[in-house]
Amino acid sequence: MIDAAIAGLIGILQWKALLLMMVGIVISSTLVAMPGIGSKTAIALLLPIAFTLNQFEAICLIMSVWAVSNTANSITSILFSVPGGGGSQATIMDGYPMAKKGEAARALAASFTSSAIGGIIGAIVLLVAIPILRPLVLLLGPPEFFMLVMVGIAMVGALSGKAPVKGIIAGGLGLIISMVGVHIITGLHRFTFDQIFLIDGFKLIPVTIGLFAIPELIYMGVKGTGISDLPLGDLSKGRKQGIQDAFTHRWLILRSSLIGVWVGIIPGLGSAVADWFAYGSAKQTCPGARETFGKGDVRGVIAVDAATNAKEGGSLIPTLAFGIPGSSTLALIFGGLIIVGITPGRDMLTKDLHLTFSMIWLLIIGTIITSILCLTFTRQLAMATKLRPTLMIPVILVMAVIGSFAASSRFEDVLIMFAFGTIGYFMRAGGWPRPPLLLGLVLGPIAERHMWTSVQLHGVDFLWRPGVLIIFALLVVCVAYPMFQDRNSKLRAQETES
Amino acid sequence: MKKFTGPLALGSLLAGVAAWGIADTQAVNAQGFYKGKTIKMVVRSAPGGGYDFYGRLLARHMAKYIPGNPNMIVINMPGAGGIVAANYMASRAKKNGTEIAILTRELALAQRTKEIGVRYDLEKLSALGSAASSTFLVVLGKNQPIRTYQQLKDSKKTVLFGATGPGSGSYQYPSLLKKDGFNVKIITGIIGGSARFLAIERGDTHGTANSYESTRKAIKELGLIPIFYNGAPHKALPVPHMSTLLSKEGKQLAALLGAPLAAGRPFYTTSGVPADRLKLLRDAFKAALHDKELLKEAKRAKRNVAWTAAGVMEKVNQEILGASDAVISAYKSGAKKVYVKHTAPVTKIKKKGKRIYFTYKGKEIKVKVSGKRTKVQVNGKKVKRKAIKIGMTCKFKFAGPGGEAKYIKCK
Repeated sequence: MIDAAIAGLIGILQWKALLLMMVGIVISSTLVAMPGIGSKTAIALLLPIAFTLNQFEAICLIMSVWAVSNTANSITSILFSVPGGGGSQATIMDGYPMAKKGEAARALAASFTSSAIGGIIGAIVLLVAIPILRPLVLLLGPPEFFMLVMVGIAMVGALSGKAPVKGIIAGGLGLIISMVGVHIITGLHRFTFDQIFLIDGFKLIPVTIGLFAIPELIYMGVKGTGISDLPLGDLSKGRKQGIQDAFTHRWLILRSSLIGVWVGIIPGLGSAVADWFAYGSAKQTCPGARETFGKGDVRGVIAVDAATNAKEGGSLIPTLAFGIPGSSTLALIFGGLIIVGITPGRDMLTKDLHLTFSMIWLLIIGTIITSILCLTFTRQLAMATKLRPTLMIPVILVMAVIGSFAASSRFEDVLIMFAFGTIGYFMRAGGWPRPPLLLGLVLGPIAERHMWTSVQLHGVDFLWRPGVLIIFALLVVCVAYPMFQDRNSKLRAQETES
Repeated sequence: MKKFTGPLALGSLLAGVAAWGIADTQAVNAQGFYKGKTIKMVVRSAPGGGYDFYGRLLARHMAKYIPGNPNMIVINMPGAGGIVAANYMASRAKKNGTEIAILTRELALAQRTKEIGVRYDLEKLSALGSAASSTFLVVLGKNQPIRTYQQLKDSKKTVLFGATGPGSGSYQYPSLLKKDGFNVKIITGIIGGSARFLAIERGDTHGTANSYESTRKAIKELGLIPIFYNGAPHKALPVPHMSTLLSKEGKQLAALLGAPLAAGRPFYTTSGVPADRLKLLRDAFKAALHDKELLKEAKRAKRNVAWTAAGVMEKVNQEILGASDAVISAYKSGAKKVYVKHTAPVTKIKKKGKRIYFTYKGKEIKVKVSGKRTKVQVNGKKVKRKAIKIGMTCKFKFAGPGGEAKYIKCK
């Protein structure tokens, strides 16, 4: 195994491979930072070049685009409240309020640093998991996946803040919206009204951009100031502070990274919800988070970015062990890597172990380089928050429109974005939490599918499988712990008062 | 009369110029039309996956066989199982031969079964040819006793097949078996071949149906056992072809499902492309599929390449479009709900007629009666569901025990 680790490292440390890695990183960090343009587009563009390369070089070029995409994704989330991609929605929750407070540099620096550490943790978990990858994935069947998703749904409570009833309603609304389209189990069309663009349902990116970016634009226009009306302060100091923040909250990073890895392991769940899971869990477990989260708490940014990058290591687990891509991006990557003779599956853990190690090394080296690169430009990026609204509003609006359109090249998606923009505006104005709606939208179909398959396989008895019971116990802890903690702190407050 | 000579002369001159112009355009068509132009290659699915692979492969290698050496760009247009891209080609794409598309192989079937959203007419699109043929294979896991088709047919134990969902091949093949009276059950919601192999390895299911290209590796690694196949014959497959098995209706359905496999990666252009330009595209398509570099790339990617002529593709499409209503309705019932017909006396009524009980295969079962969807008749007259009384002998058409009744006709 050590031989393979060394061979893997040497493979990607050749000058051509390193150069291609840098190309991948730069392309990814610039292209992926644009909302709606995900790493998938960048990879599809680069694949033809990869055909002419050797295995290590192809890994360096293609995987580096993917490995670092989450780092740059956060930039637009923090600066403009426009999510750069599926995995950077929750960064908005505290990143954007920080930018509004004039702390954009600190938020960006904290985000980049925690992203690097998260990526490394994800890679290490993957490394440790190699010997047990196959048995681990074999343990988890549809019933266990269903219960894991349920743990996610329990997060709605945490993400609802002080308005749990509104949160549950918003979550329910998300579930209803998620039902639009062809029902995968029966082939029936649900709520499509014979409209062809509704057959594939509502896409996450236009919905998210609508919910989060459009309301901010309206507020910005009404207020007549830029994103931040407070002085920016010393940007270099802000950056230093952000890096320090990440190291101060190292346990939070570790916890969030592990959540990210766990979410990554579940195929199809990964990219869109790891951030919300980490955010919800941080909100439940960090002292005083209930009061400060959502108002520009750096811990909200750190938790999210550590998790989104760590999940990449996790999502490689089912891909490498069984050839089941953890996400659609990985499906594309391995579709391309097959051409240079790298086939996911059992071989990756035996004969081609050195290639697996190359990927792990790449995850580590790539995230570090990207974070350093992004940190270098933090000051320039942060200045964007001081631009006047007459300039910012059209720029962000164009980004929002292109972002919605680019995800699947459908004009209808732009209309959907504006429709959800209106909904988002009223939700924000009325104090309705928006994250539960997104969570409902993402988790609804996954929960439904795993439940159907479980019932077909085992009937209702699937709920009594040991794995399911263990995960259910975890769910109970997740829900009960914050309540218990709340009561304790109230009791303590009463004691001190008396 | 004299006065008309001038305009007449002018008219004939103009006509002459126009005719010369047309002749000239055709000459340009045949050779120089594509010079400096860009051809759009529309791919019916998102980046990644088979259709995208073949679309991009052709986009890389086809241009050099088209005089004028045009640029080729790839545009992914996913949606509604390929219907979005087909609708685009039929209505919005430029009709001058600068847009070509790899469309879904089930296009003809979707048109024949009048699927929601279909706004194209395949006979009005011009086929270029297909880049690969496909084979569909039914496999079982090694940890169960069945090894052959006959054993599967005689199996007393229910054999579980993992499938994506109705409409997919993984669902259609086991449902064909089910229609032929095999003791199989389809477990839906397991998306992707690898996930279904994993379900077999985990012991959740016993088998699945999948394309041979994606199953080959699993046969070797997991010891999966091929049972039978459909579509293009394969030397490496020592099992029977589906056309030699099943009942008469089953065979017809197998042929219907197998036809599109012959043209597994179909390419089209729009209608209205001048004949010589269409020929040019078809020739370039054929030449590209015999290109050494293309074949090398496909081999590295472990994808098969087999050129099918446009004429063959059109014939296959006509066959599917001309399939009898009986076969299509049988196909549809396999893809969606299976209704059972049974006549028996009503034994119990619950929830004010919303649940009706009767004996079916020696067991008392219930069916749901919808006030809106279920047609209820007593003595040939349309009535409300509460008019059904215990003891009446009724003919039921229903979606299995516990399912909803389509109609109940009582005497």
